Amino acid sequence: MYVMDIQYLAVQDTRLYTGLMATPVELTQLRRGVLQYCVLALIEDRDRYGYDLVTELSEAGLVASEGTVYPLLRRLRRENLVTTSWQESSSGPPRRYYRASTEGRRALAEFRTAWSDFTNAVHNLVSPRKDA
Amino acid sequence: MHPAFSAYLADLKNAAAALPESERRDIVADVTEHFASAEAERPLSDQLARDVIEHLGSPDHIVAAAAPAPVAFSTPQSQTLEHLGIGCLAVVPMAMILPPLGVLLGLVGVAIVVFSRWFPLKEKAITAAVFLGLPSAVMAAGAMAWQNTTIVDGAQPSTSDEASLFIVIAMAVVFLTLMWGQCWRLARALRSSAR
Repeated sequence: MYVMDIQYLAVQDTRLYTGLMATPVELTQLRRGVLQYCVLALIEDRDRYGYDLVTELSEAGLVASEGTVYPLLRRLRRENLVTTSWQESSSGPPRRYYRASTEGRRALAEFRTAWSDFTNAVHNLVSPRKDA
Repeated sequence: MHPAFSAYLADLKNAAAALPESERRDIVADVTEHFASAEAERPLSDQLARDVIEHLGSPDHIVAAAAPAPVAFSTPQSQTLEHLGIGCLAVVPMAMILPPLGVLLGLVGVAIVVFSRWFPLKEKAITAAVFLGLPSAVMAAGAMAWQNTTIVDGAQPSTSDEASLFIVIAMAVVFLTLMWGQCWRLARALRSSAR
């Protein structure tokens, strides 16, 4: 109960914080569930650093609070779905770059199939009927 | 680094105090890099720095995302104590054959339910009302009736036995009706642990 309350408050707080999440709680949770695969897709075959990834996800409307992507990246690292490397930047300190590992690419491939089936099924059910 | 960023990082360190050391270090390092990258991208006015922070979300928010997987999406925590509480309450009507035992089980059950974080407020209120409020009210009414009739009536004990049987049955029925969800969960937990 306690954790669910926190999630609920977090969602409420997000709405206040960025004004970007004027969507039902269900959509927020759906987005949260698919986010890791969006990350894997962005780094499927090239290295990208955190800020770059985070701002792209944010601009695509997939995250309301950019900061919450970092714990996700850490989890992907811990689960060996991504590999990381430090690379010099032209300005400022070195940056941590992320890239999907072999397991990460496999997980993404499985998700692609499942997601495509899922969206087709949902689309068929929820789109307005032409004959109606 | 922009002063607003430094202030944010200080807040983040505080908010992350409860996280494991390695996790806290990683989060602070990640957000520090985020700020450095934002500054490297373009010169930041105060307004732009505020925008970067606003997009990042509150420190509490980031820490909440770092906390262990939410209960709602993973296997629930063990609720042995809560099941025990419901179990106590469920057998109270039968245990009333030995009234002290029944009262003890009832009090233990109510205490577990009321002090557990797991039960919603409504269920706590129902439980307290059924097991504390209802018997107290009936006993008070009984005591008053007894005071009024005791002088006249010799057959008082048998009516009082019937009355207490009625109270116990009423308690069982009310409890099972209002808390059937909890009782069902208890039954399911017992069945799965029996396997």
